[in-house]
Amino acid sequence: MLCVWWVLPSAFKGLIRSTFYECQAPAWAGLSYLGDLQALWTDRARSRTQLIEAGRDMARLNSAYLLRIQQADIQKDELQRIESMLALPPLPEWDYVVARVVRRDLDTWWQRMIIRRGYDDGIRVGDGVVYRDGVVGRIVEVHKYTSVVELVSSASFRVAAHVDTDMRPVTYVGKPAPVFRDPGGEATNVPADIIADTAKPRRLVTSRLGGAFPDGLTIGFMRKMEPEPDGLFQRSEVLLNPSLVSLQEVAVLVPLLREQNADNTPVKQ
Amino acid sequence: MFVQHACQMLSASVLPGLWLHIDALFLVFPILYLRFAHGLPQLVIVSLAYDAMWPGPYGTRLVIYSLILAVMVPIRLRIRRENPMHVLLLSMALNLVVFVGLALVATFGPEHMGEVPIGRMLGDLLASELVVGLCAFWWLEVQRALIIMSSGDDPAGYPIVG
Repeated sequence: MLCVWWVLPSAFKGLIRSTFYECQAPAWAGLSYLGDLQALWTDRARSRTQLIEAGRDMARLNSAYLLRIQQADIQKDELQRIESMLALPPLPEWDYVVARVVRRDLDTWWQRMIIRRGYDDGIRVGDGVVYRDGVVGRIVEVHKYTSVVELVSSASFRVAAHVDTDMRPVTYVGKPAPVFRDPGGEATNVPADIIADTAKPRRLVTSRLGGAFPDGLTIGFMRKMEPEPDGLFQRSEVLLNPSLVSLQEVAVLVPLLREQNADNTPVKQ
Repeated sequence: MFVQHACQMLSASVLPGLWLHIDALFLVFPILYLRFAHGLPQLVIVSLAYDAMWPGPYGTRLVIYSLILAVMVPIRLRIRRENPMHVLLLSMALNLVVFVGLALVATFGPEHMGEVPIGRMLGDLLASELVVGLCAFWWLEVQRALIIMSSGDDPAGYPIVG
């Protein structure tokens, strides 16, 4: 039987895999919906005073964000003006597709999560995934209604980055979490003149060089630099946000250009 | 699913960086109660379904589970399935074999995952062995009770066939 399995064409194995995956996906999605329902009923138990306070806080936040949006619009116009003056190609823009987390696989070797958005929502392999505190990971598998996200802490996750105030490129690689510790990563090729210590950690942010993420999203914090063997660069452990392993909701970055191209594609009759 | 949720909760709350591998729980019942012709299809379906969610090479568990079943069928005559200590030792040994197999595939396979801290692997292995050892006999009895409830037939009434 094992011989039969080994000689089976990989396309056939892929078909079996996606069949088994798609059969299980509704069960996981169902559990996720049940969790949402549970959260809803928990929220319904809150008192009216708590809701009024939450509404007041939300109104304040909304006002602050409206001001931020106005400032961002002004900056965007300014950027477009400079781009047209210098004949520069426009910066890539993204649409944010919000998705609920269905399942988290943070096992010994792989760090992944499954989200409740898939091919039908315009998500494709390679799209970046973010949350309120920064980068979550990258899409590695897309199914009809679900997608698999490789987390920023996964050893196979690699992305171009830079230190917050320094534009020189740095490489970030995820590292599996040691036992009883939060997930982390490692930054390599850090320029030798950058200093970081526990009292003054440096923020590592995404670079637009990678293409999947906009510039400036937080990856993690570097607390201690060590020289690399070549002596030209440094490396540092990167501390990720511990809330990464308990996320309930994320946003997938879908490039606007791809969305526009998809909209312009004539529908086949 | 329950174990997956338990692992998620462990990782997200009190014990980050810990994951339970409970593959032996899928293996003990087919090995100790089912004929080879009945146990094999069950293991094939379980392993393919489990592997569909696993990022490693598809069919890894199918190969490991099938090899274990083939090796265990002649040996199982010597195991007393009504003895909790036998079940405990068997399940822990099976879990160790599957864990080592998965570790080899994850480390040297085509989907190379880089270096995993040895402490993490040992921590996961020890916690998994503990959980599997404690749960195996109870899990076996639950499956047996479900069969009695659904068919009225006690699988313990049938001899183990080599």
